[in-house]
Amino acid sequence: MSMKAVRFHGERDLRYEDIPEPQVGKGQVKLKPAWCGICGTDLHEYLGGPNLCPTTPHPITGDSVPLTFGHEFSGTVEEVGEGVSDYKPGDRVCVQPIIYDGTCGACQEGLINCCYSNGFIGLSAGWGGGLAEHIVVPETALYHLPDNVSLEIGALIEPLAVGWHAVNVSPFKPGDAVLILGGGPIGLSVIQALVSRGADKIIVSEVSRQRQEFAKQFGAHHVLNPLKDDIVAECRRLCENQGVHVVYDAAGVQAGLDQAVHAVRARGTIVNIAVWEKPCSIHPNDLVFKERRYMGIATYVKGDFQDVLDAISEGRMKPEAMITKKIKLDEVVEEGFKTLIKDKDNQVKILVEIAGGS
Amino acid sequence: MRAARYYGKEDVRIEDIPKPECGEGQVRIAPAFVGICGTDLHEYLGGPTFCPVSPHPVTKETIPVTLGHEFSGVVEEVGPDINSFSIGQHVVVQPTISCGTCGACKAGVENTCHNGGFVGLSGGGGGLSDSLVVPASYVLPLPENVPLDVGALVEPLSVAWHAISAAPLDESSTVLVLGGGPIGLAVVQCLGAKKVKKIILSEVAPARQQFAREFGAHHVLDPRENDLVAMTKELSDENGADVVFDCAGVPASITTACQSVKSRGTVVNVAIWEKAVPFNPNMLVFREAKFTAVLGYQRKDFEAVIEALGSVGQLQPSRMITRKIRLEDLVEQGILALTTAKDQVKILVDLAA
Ligand SMILES: NC(=O)c1ccc[n+]([C@@H]2O[C@H](COP(=O)([O-])OP(=O)(O)OC[C@H]3O[C@@H](n4cnc5c(N)ncnc54)[C@H](O)[C@@H]3O)[C@@H](O)[C@H]2O)c1
Ligand SMILES: [Zn+2]
Ligand SMILES: [Zn+2]
Ligand SMILES: [Zn+2]
Repeated sequence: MSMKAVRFHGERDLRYEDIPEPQVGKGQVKLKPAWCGICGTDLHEYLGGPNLCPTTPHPITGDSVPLTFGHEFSGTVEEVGEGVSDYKPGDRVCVQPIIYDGTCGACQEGLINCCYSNGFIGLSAGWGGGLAEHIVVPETALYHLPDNVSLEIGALIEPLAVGWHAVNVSPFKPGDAVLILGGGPIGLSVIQALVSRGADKIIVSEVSRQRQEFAKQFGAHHVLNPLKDDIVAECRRLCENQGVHVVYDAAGVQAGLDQAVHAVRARGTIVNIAVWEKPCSIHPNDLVFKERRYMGIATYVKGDFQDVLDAISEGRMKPEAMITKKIKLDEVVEEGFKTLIKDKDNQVKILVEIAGGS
Repeated sequence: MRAARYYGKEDVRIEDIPKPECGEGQVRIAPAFVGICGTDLHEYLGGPTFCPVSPHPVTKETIPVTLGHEFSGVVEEVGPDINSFSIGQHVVVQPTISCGTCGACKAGVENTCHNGGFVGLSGGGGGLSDSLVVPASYVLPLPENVPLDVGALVEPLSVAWHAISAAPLDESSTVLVLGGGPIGLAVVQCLGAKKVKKIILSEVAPARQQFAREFGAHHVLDPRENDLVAMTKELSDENGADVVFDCAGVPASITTACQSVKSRGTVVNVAIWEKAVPFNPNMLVFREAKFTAVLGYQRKDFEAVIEALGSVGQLQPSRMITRKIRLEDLVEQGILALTTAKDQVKILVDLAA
């Protein structure tokens, strides 16, 4: 039996093609993907990859390019393998796409996101992806969607979990002032995570007009334009002349980092969520003389998906407005990737409808 | 009295200047031993950086200023309202100058004061003189069993103590120290005092590698011959170091540090850098590692070091002192010797010699 899938073959080579349908095995669940988001990482891979997609067999899955794309998705259970008891056909789920070995030092400390040989379903390891009519994943990758959370929203849990995790791991505490660099999907998910924790001074720096609007809509208290405003001076002015307590870098550009190191107060923390396209330059003394900290954040750990689902289900987070466009599986390249390249400013999340539904 | 005064790049003069008056709240100290530090060297070769060219916000002084911020001494005179110190008492000075009013000071991080400075760099006198007057709050008593020359090491040891306090550490931690200069060696000793079982040190100079072993490093590596990232993993069950201290401050060290640290581990940067360096944040992202910068020390670090020096066997740093010189020989045998002689760790000026 064959099925339709969108597979990445190499730089600017994404094909809508027929591949064999996967078979469910022990401890596994076969899903019909419903909705799948396209993410900046997919775009990087498309424009300049393969970077994360393995060209030699991945240590855990043994897969290499071509690989099916799609790591932000929801779906419906079609079939369960031997030993699976928590899921049954018809269940609505979302997928936590981290692939980890479970044996390395990081995994043993519960940091599967930092697994020394990790990868992602639908991106950097194989096991298929959300941009296909069927996928088989381990039972452990699944989360039940609460009844009041739709399949469309289910496709947003992954990027929301990134922002949630960043806020969780960061030293943010209620009352702190924060600066968020970048109002893309991740920047917006950081805003939402902070709002749900009662943050009352969220400053966002974003170039695009449309995204500035989104930032306000999701609850940012001050929205600045780095091309016009003096970010450092504004952060000091808004924060007792000292600067913010925490900066979240969801932009990953040199100019942003240069602002971040001066916009954060003494002993404050810069939380970098961005994955950088190329190395930047930093003057460590800018950190030294104010004992500032810089930390990296990688995706999410167990617990983050459930927390996000609970927050949405209980109405503490309302992410619907992140969905700016919906397209079909056979339109992924033209209407999805190419739109994101040409019209990124006006888009937040483009969702691909596979089986669709709610 | 004699004082070594900094006038600018490559211009340090030993001159005769008037003795300062000791007023209310102050203590007059006759410095005994004064360490020469990398910062003095930078100031001499490429400054002024710390030394003020326009009036310092707290001391109101500009160059020339007296040098010497790592020192011990003997109390000579106390202000009329001071009874916590007595004449003849051995003491050390915590040279931090802070304004007490800025945001950093109010947040209790006076070592990062926006208007801060140092006795011996920013005005307010310095250790390289026959006498100086400082606020009594800067002065800490030295226990009787700690000799005055070791007292001059309290300051660099406090830098190290402050640094190791910034990282989550216990006896079972694997720690990598990059750079075996005075600060790197001080970090090794402070880690030893905390009984850390696996201390790896990387250093290029053979003499300093030897010092590192003597001071308690368990593995000493040469970054030109060893793959530090691989060796650190090998020595830590393939995980990487729990904490890495960068006491080298070279472009290669920041990369090595970020690649050698384990998931959620901490890189503590102690080094002061000459210029911006290439940096790839992704190194920290995929491991969720932290890069923490520390600066100087706080009073509690001075107190902890003095206590460790006074209690038997915890910190025995006297072998860090590799040379003692006269004040008159400061530039030739002190500052300039540090640029060339890698077999030196701490050169002390003996004011009585
Ligand atoms: N943060 C603070 O509060 C504070 C206070 C004092 C000094 N410092 C700084 O700490 C740093 C260390 O100070 P120091 O007194 O030990 O001086 P130092 O510069 O002599 O020590 C650095 C050592 O690193 C070694 N080194 C060079 N390249 C190396 C590499 N690739 N790998 C490993 N080692 C390498 C050098 O041989 C040298 O021995 C300096 O940058 C100094 O400015 C910071
Ligand atoms: Zn993504
Ligand atoms: Zn692992
Ligand atoms: Zn201050």
